[in-house]
Amino acid sequence: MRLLETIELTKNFFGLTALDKVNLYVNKGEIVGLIGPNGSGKTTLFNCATGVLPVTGGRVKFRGEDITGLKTHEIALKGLSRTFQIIRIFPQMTVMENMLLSIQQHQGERILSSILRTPRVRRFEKEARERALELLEFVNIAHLKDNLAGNLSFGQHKLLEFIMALMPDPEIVLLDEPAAAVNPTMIKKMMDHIFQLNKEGYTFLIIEHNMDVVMELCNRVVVLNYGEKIAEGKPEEIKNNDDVIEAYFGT
Amino acid sequence: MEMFFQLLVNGIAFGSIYAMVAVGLTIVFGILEVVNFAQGEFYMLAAYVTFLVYLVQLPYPLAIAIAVATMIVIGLIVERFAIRPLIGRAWQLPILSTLGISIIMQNGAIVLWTPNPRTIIIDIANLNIHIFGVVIVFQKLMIVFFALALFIGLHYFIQKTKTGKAMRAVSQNKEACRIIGIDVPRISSITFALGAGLSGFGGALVAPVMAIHPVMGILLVLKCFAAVIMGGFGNIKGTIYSAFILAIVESFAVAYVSLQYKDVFAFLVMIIILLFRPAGLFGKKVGI
Amino acid sequence: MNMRISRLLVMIAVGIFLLGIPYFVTSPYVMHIIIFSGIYIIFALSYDIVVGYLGMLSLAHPAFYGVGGYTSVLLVMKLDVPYIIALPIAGILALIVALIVGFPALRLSYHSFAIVTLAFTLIMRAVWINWVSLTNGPMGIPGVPRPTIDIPFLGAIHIETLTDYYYFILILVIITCLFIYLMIHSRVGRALLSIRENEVLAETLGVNAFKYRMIAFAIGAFFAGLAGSFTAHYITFMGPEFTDFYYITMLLIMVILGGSGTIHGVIIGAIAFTFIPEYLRITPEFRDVIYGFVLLTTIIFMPGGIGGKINEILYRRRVRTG
Repeated sequence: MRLLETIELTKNFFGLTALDKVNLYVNKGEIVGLIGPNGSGKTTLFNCATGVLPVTGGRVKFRGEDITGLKTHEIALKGLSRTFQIIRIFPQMTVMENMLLSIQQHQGERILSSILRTPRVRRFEKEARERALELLEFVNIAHLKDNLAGNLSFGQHKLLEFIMALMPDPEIVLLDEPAAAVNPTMIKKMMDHIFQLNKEGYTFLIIEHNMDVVMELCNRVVVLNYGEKIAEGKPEEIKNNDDVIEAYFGT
Repeated sequence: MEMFFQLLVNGIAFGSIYAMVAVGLTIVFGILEVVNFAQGEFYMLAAYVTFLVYLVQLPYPLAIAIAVATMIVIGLIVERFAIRPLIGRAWQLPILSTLGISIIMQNGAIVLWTPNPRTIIIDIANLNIHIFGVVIVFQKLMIVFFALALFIGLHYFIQKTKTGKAMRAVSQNKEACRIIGIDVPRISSITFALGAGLSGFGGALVAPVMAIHPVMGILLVLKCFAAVIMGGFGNIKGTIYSAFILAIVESFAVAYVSLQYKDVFAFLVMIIILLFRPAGLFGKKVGI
Repeated sequence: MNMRISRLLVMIAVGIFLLGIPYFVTSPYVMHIIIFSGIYIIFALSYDIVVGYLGMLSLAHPAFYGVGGYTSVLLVMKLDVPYIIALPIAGILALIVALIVGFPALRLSYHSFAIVTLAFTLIMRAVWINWVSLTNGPMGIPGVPRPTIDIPFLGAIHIETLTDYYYFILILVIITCLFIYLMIHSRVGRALLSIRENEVLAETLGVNAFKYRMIAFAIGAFFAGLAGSFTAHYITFMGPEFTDFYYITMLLIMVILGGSGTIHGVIIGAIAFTFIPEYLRITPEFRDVIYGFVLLTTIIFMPGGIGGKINEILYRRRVRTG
């Protein structure tokens, strides 16, 4: 099943075409890599898909449903999660608070009951805390749960952002350069985590510059250049694709 | 018919004042990104300075010059000590700072000069001029004339001079300006002083035709805020047009609708416009 | 555990102290100020919800206070509604007005929001001053009856003496503090904080920023309305003076100097600035000049306020617990 799909997705910024009729899909259970030289439109695609940026043309579909033009928080509640290139967490709140924030209530919950701590709300909070703890242990930062998120090291930030995206139990996670500026040991750990989660049923769409990661991790790779899709296929095919080589290195 | 033109002319005269003060607000916002709640107080203080200078028998034109100069100096001091330290921190801080200054100035004026309104009588200012069957006080004609001259001068200054171009650049991208070597603090000072001076000019011009009292600034400045919001924060032309529109609407509404709710009309117009165009009549901040 | 016990002990001590105040305060004048500080605590805390937790500069708060006050007075005096019902209705009406105003206003940029809320207050002021048949205009409505609360089977409670009013406001203050405390530590509070810290990220995590803004704005208005109602039935008078510039200045000083975003800070700010003006025997204008300077210096040198300073000190003592 095509979990996430863009159809002729186009984005213009004052005459600059950032995305040009991009057709991309991610099947349930896949790990798809999105690569391309700097400025090729990868993050823009993420932003359009998650409602951060308005779309100029084309559509975005999630589980067959048209989500083009929906607001960011609406899309998030449907099961689509993402991380950012520049890490976004809440530095003034504790790690646990950051985790708890990542899970929003079901539509039925009312504000007053939330404030007054009805039993249903309390149970929900308890479950949320348990899940947060699980994820924190999964990436081995559970001991930091009461520290201010701003005080974590860079690598720990990345891990936190990663598991925050997982808190709401999304169907698909969009990762924006998870291996950027990270040391090789950490990269290996990240890849292990992603593999593990993929086995448990999570689908991933990953923007990455680190070719080793892409080669090892992804089932399929999509290549963008100047906003256009120029190639698509298995990692080995892409590695030897002339267009791709030209895009990255010039002629 | 006569009434119509009378109201129109009245609206234009007041619109000139609103526009002067509002433009001061808008350039300060466009370049410093600060909403100056004390803008009305520069207007008010300038009126008082004009009054004091006139009291010692100096000629009115000199009074205007002194008033404007004083406001410029005060503006420079305020910017340097109460605003510049706060730029870059939470956005509410500079606004609250100017609010504090506004409170100090308003109450300071009451302490110094009592809440009783003052007036200055200048014979030539009160001369009635008859144009096309409309009676207008000479001073009001002067106000419109000066406002026009001021705006033309401002336009020239911003478009053609080096400082003006630097101001435009800062309003568009402060960081980039710093990198290419524009002295941003200096531009901030100049802009704020300019805003204070414009407001001061308005106050000095209005002194012969209106009662001068310590809260005359706050009521005016709120309408100028309305003009700035309507015109689009940072958009000089939009602000000027909006100021005139508001003043004219106010003039007519007072005559045909109600005197009691006089001060409310400008706000109602502003709110209605914002409901349909949240970014103002003339769009988003386009840089000056 | 040690922390918990000592905290509990402190709270019990404070509780006993508060309950006993009418017994060791003999001057009616001081009692009056104490009651007023209670009113201001509620008013300032309600304001802090919008300014501190939401982070938006709203200048509409005096208007909500007024809606609460006038509603309560008119319900009791013209429609014979029992006070026990008029009080919450006053709050709810203020809440509804906030929702109506907030719906368009909260979509605006921060700066436009500030000015539009100010415009709203001024418009309401003009309405209250000019709609003489309803509000008696600038003269205000005198002779507001003191609260009478009818409890079935137990008879009526008449709130008349200073002591009565004191316990009444004490109850209201406790309810307000409790509610706000619960709110901050609930999902709502976390959502508000996340919006203030990083709105884009909050939205990405599924937080509907606009909805939470409306909620905070409305809750702030509710308590402001309650404060208005209490005051009207305490001083037995309701007029439009609270829309004077002075009151919003006071609110801002209480919240900012007290420490926006901290309950204890705002409470300190409210109490301090209810007492201080009483003991400052100078002309109102001179006092306001000083206030202006206080506001200015606080913003420049201590924007976190007293509450912020207290938090800073506590921080250094122990690791913050979630």
